[in-house]
Amino acid sequence: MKYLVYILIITLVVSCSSPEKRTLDEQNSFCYWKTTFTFDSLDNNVWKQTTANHMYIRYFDVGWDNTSKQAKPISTVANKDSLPCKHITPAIFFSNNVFEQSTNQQLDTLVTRIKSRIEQTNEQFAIQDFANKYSEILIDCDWSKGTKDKFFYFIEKLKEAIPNKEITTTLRLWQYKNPTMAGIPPVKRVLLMCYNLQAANEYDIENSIITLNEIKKYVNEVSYPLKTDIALPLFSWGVIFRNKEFKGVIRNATCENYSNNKQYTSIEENRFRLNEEMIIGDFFARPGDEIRVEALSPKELQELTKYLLSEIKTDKYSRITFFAWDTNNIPTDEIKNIYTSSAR
Amino acid sequence: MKSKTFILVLLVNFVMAQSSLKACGYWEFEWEYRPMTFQAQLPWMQSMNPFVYTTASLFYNMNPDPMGKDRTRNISEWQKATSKDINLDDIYAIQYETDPDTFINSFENSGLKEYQNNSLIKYLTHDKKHKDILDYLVFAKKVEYTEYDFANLNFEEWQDEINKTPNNSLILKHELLAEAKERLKTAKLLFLKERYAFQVVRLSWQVGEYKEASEVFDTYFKAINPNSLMSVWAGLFKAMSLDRLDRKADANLFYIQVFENSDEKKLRSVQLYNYNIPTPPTFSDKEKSIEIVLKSIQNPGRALDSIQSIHRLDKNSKYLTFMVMREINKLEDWLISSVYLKSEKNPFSNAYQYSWDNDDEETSQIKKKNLETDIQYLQRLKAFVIVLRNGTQQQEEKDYYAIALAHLSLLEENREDAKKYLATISTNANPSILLQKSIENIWLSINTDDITTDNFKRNYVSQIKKLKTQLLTTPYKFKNENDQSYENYRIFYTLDLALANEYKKRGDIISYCLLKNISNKDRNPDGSFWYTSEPASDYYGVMRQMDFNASVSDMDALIALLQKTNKTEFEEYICDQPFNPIDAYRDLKGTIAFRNRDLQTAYGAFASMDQNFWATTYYFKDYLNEDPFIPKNLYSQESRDFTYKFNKTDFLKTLLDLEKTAKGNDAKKSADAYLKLGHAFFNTTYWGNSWMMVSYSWSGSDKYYSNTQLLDSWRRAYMTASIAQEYYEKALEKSQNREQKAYATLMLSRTHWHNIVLNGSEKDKKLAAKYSNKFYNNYLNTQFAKQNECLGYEAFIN
Repeated sequence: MKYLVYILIITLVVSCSSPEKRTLDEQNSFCYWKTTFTFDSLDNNVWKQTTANHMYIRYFDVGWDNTSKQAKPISTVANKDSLPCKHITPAIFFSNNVFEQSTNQQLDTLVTRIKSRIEQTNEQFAIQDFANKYSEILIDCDWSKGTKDKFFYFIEKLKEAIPNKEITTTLRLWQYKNPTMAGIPPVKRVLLMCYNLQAANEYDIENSIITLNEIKKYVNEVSYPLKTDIALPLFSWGVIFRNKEFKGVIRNATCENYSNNKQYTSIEENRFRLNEEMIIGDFFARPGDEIRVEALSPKELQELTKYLLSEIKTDKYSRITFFAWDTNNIPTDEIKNIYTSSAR
Repeated sequence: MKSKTFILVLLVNFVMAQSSLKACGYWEFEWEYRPMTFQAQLPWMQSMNPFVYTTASLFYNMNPDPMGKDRTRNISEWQKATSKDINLDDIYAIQYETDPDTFINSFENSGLKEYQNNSLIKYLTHDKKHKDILDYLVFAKKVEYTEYDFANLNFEEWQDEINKTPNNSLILKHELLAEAKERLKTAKLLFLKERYAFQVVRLSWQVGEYKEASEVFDTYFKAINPNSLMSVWAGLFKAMSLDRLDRKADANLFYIQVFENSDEKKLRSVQLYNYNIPTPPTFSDKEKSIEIVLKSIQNPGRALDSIQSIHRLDKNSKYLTFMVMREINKLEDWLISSVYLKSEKNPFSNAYQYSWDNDDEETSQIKKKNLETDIQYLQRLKAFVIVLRNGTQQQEEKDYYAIALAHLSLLEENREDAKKYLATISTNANPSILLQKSIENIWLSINTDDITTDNFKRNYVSQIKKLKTQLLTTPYKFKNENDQSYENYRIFYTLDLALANEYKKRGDIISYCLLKNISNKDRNPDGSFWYTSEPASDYYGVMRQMDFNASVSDMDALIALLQKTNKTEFEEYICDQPFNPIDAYRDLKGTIAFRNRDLQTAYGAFASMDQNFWATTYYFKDYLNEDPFIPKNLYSQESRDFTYKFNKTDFLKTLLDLEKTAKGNDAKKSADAYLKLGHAFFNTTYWGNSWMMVSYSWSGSDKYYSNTQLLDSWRRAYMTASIAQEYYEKALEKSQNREQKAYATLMLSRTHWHNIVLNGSEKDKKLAAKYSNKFYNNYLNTQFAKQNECLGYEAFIN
C-alpha cells in the first residue's frame, strides 16, 4: 500500500509539471513569410549551409472585415514545394483591430475557426506531412493595453481548443519592457521580436530596424517572467527622404545598390543622395532626395545576438529565429556561427 | 519610482497612417498630406478617379465608377426593355441593393410578394408576358449569389461559411453556365440575348473555358458596341480570356476598347493591360493614344512628352484634360509641398547627432536646380495647354484649360497671367470650374492683397466659408460614398496653411500659430489626431505651435485675443479650435520668459495664475516634485524625495531674491546665493529634476541632440547647463570658505561631465578634469565632501 501511495505521488508530481513539448533539435530557426511556400534547390542549399533545423511558417493572417463585422482570414499560404526540415511552427498573424472589434462570443467562434483553418492548411501540405511536424503554434499580434484582455482571453480559449499543442505568442519590445502595462500573455513561452524599434519615417535616426543602442533601452536589466525565444531581422530597406521629409520605402534595398553608381552620391555609410530624376517603384525621385539604407551587417548581427543572449533569459530549448527567409539576404556563415554560439 | 524615460509623444504633424501588411514588422506608410488645391474636373472625369495623381500608392482609390455611370446605363436599358413607367430607383434597388439570397428565397417561396411595391417587380410578376425577363432577373441573382464580394477581395472565407468558398461556387457556376447557354439559345428579345450572352462569356471565363468565352462573344456580340453595355462588359471577359489563351495583343485591343467605353471597368482594364508587348501595328491612332493614356496615368514622373504624343495621335482625345490635371497636381506637389509643409519637428532635432546639414552649398544648389527644372517644366506644360485651349472647339474644354492656365500661372507666381486667364472663364462654365475659380481667387488674394487689413480678413473668411459650403455639398459627393471627399478638406488646409505662412513672414506669429492649427484640423476632418497621435498629449498638442514659435509678447497677444468678447469674424475663424484654460497660456508665457532668463516677467506670469494649476494640470505634479535647489546628480536615486510641493511662482520669487542676494555686498551670502542659482539652473536643464520648468517633454533619446551649436540659446543652455555653469563659476569666485569652494567645484565638474556624455566635447573634458582634480586634490577633507562623496559617486554612476 505504501508503495502504491509513492507511485501515486510520483505520478501526480510528474503529471503536474508539464513537460517541454519542444525537442532539442529545433533551435536554429527561420521565419518563412511568403504567401506561397516554395523551396527550390537554391533554397535547399542555403538552408543546409545555415544549419537551420526549424521554420516558422506564416499560415495565414486574420484581419477585421468591416463589411461582415467579423474577423476573416487573409492570404492563406499556398503549397508548392517540399519542406527542408522536420520541425515547423505554424504562425498566424492577427491585426490588433480584430481584438478591438470582436466580442468574446466572436472570439469563441474565432478559436474554432482558427483550429479548423490550421487543419485545412495542414491538409494542403499533406505530402510534406506538416500536421506531424509541429508541437506548438505561434500567435503573432501586437496587442495593445486596450486589447490585452481580449487577446489573452482568446489565447486561453485557443489553448483549451488545441490542448495537444503549445500555444506561444510573439512579444514586441515595448511589451517586454512594460509587462505591467502590456500584460503578460497566458503562455509559457514568447518570441521576442527584436526589430523595428523606431519609426522609419523619422529622418534623424540611424536605423529604424535596429541598433544596439536602441535595443539596450528595452532590454537592459529587464527580467521577463516567461521563457523567451529571439527573433532577429534579416531584411533591409531604403527609406526615401526629400528635404528630410519621409517619402517612401524601397524594399530589399542594400548599400550595394547605390555604391559606385553615378546616379547616387554616398553622403554617409548608409545614406545616399540621388543625382538624377528617376522613378523608383511608384515614386518620382528627384536629385537631392536621400535614401537611408537600413540593414544589419553580419558583424552587427553577431554583436546584437551576443548582447541579447547576455541579457535575455533563455533556456536550452530557446530558439534564435531570423525574419525572414529570402536567399538574397542570408549570410550563411554568420547565421551558422550565431546558431553555434547561441547553443546552450 | 518614476520611469527614467518620460516620453510625451510629440510626433511630427504629418501624421502617417501605417498599415502593417504582413505579420512580423514590414511597415508601409501612406503619404498623402501634400498640399493641393487644383481639383477642377469636367463631369466625365469622375470615372478617372482611380487615376488621380497620388504619392501614396499606384492608384488613388479602387472605386472605379464613383458616379455609378455603368449602373445607370444598365438600369436605363432595363427600363427601356420593360416600361418607361417603371421607376429607375426601383430597378436600381432590385439590381444593386437586394441581397441575392433573400431575393431567390422570396421568389421560390412567395413569388416575390415582399417586393410588390417595387414597380419593376410588379411589372414583371403581374403579366405572364414578362416572364422571360423575370426569369432572367432570377437567373442573374443566382449568378450573383456565387460571386465574391469583390469589395473585400482581401478576405477569404472560413470553412463554416462554405457556401461562399470558391470551390463550391465553382460547381454552381458550371450549372449556371449550362443553364445560361440553354436560355441563350431560346431568348427572343435582343435585351435578353445580350444579357444571357454576357453571362455565358463571364461564366465561361470564371470556370476556365477561355476559348468558349471568346467564341461566344464573337458569335453574339462580334465587337464592342459603345451603345451596348453588355458588349462592353462581356468585352472585358473576352479580353481576359484572350490573355489566358496567350493572345496578348488581341487582349490589349479589347482592354483599350473596354477602357474607352465603360466607367466601371476602366480600372480593371488598366490593371490587366499587357504593357510589355509592343504596340500592334493594327492599332488605330486613337487606340495607340489610349494605350499611352493607360501607361501615363501610372507615371508618377514627368509625362508631358507622352501627353503630347496622345495629342499628336488624337487631337480630340478627351483624356487630355485629365492628363493636364495630373501634371498640375504633380507640379503642386513638387513646387509647394516642401514650402508649405516645412517640418514641424521639435526644434531640438536640429541638433540631432546624426543630422546631416542639408543646407550646405551642394544641397542648396540641388534645390535651386530642381526648382529651375520644375519651373521650366511648368512653362512647357503651360505652353502646351495654351495650344490645347486654342485647338478645342468645346467651350467646356476652353474653360477647363483656362482654369488650368490660371493655376499654373499662380504656381509660377505670375499673378497677371492668373488674373488674365481667370477673366476668360465664362459665367456659364461647369460648376467645378467655377468652384476652382473661387479657389484661385482666394489664393490670388493671399498672394497679392495686404493680409493685415480688416478688409482682407473679412473677405477671406467670407470666401472660405462660401467655399466650404460649396465643396461639402456639391459635385464631389460620390454616389457610392458616404464620406465627404477628402480632397475638399485638403483644399482648405492648403489655403489656411498658405495664409498662415504669409502671416509668419509678416511677424504675426499668433495668427500663424492659430491658422496652422486650423489647417491641421482641416487635414483630419473627423477631428481626431490633428495635432498629435497621443490623446494624452492633448494639452500640449493645442499649444505646440506657440511653444515652438511664440515670444512673450506674442503670448500676451494670444491671451488678449482669447479673452476678447467681441471678436471679429476673422478672429472667430482662427479661434475655432480647442484651447486650454487661459492659465495654460499664462504658464507658457512664463515658461518662455524663464527660458529667456527674464525672471521678472516669468514671475509675473506665474503669479497671475491660479496657484493650484500645476497640481491639477498636465503632468506638472508628476515631474515638478523635487526640490529644485538640490542638484539631481548629487544624490542617488534611492535618496531622492519626490514629495516636494513645487510652485512656479514661489520658485521664481526665490530666484529673484537669490539674484538680489548674489549681487549684494556680503560675499559669503553671495556665494551661497550663486550656488543655489546654479542648482536651480542645473535642475531646470535636461539633466536635472525640474526640467519641466523649461520643456514639456523629456526622453532618454533627447541626449542625441548633441550638436548643440545648432540650437538657439535657451535650448543650448537646456542641453549643456551653461547657465548653471555660469552661476557655479561665480559661486566659486565669490566663495569665502572651503565648503563653498568644494560645492562649486564639484558641481562644475559634474556639469561639464554631462557635456562629455552629450557630445564628447574636448573643451568639457578638460574642464571636467580640471574641476574634478581640483575637488579631489583640495576638498576631500571638507564637510561637504565627507557628506556627499559616496552619494556623489553613486549619483554620478546613476
